[in-house]
Amino acid sequence: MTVDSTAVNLNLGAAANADIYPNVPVATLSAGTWAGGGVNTLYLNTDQALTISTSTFTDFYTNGYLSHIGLFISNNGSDFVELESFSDNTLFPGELTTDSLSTTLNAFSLTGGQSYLVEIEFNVVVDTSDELSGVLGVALFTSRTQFYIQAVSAVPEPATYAAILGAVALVGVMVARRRRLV
Amino acid sequence: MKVRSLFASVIAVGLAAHLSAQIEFISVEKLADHVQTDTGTVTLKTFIAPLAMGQPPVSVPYQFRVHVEGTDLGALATPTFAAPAGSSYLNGTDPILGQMVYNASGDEWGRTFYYGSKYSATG
Repeated sequence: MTVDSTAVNLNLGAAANADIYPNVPVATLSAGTWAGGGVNTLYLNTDQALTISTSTFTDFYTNGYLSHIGLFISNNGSDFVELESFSDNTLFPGELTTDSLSTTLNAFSLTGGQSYLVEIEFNVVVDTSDELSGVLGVALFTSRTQFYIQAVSAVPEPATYAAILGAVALVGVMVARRRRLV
Repeated sequence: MKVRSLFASVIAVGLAAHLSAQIEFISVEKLADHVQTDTGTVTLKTFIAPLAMGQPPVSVPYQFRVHVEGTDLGALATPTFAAPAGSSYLNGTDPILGQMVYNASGDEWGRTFYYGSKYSATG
């Protein structure tokens, strides 16, 4: 590309082949039920905690200059908030490294009736540039997986309400009978 | 933009040596997007690519995103991106050259290009 009249060469290398993308992220979820038809959504009761674990980033630390895993969440279209992330950076050896992430959303941390979008990203930087002094240029590949969570309020089901009302009515009848007997 | 924050530590090192630079970060990103719809079920997501006037939208699975970020970039000459002939570039009417668009609120230049195939190229 050309920036500020300077040619900046950011080379995606053997980018003609999508096989060099990072592997596809997949989430493992500890709770909830998939439902919804066309775009399936994970339905989660708000009184349940949810542990989200990513699959292993197999390209981590093996390809490119820097690898990164990110786990983000967005509520009803708002900006994404980072839940967890780790970078492996050969420029800064010794940093903490990992090839997967796991995080737990505590019970009642989601709001009933709200929709959430969770995103897992695997990033690999395969080239950097220094044509422009003091400017960091990077070429990177990203493989991203998203899924939706629908938070369901932990309120009694209609059948539960019916059972409670039935029990109250039964007690009322028993009390009335006792009064008549007295 | 999240990409910039991912590499914030690297940027900081670069700026320490060149505090006067207005352009701070340039990125070329090739993205494959997926959607998970069940336990272990992940499929390639498609985007509705905006095409030239009069052409129907096309669903494509790959994005190619370019960004120039920094401070006071509004006066910068429009950065351009060149994809090679033969790539399945779907934006606009010009299959080769692409001009970035300035976003005043974010003080950045950028554009997303859409590709109908996995093939793309150097930036």
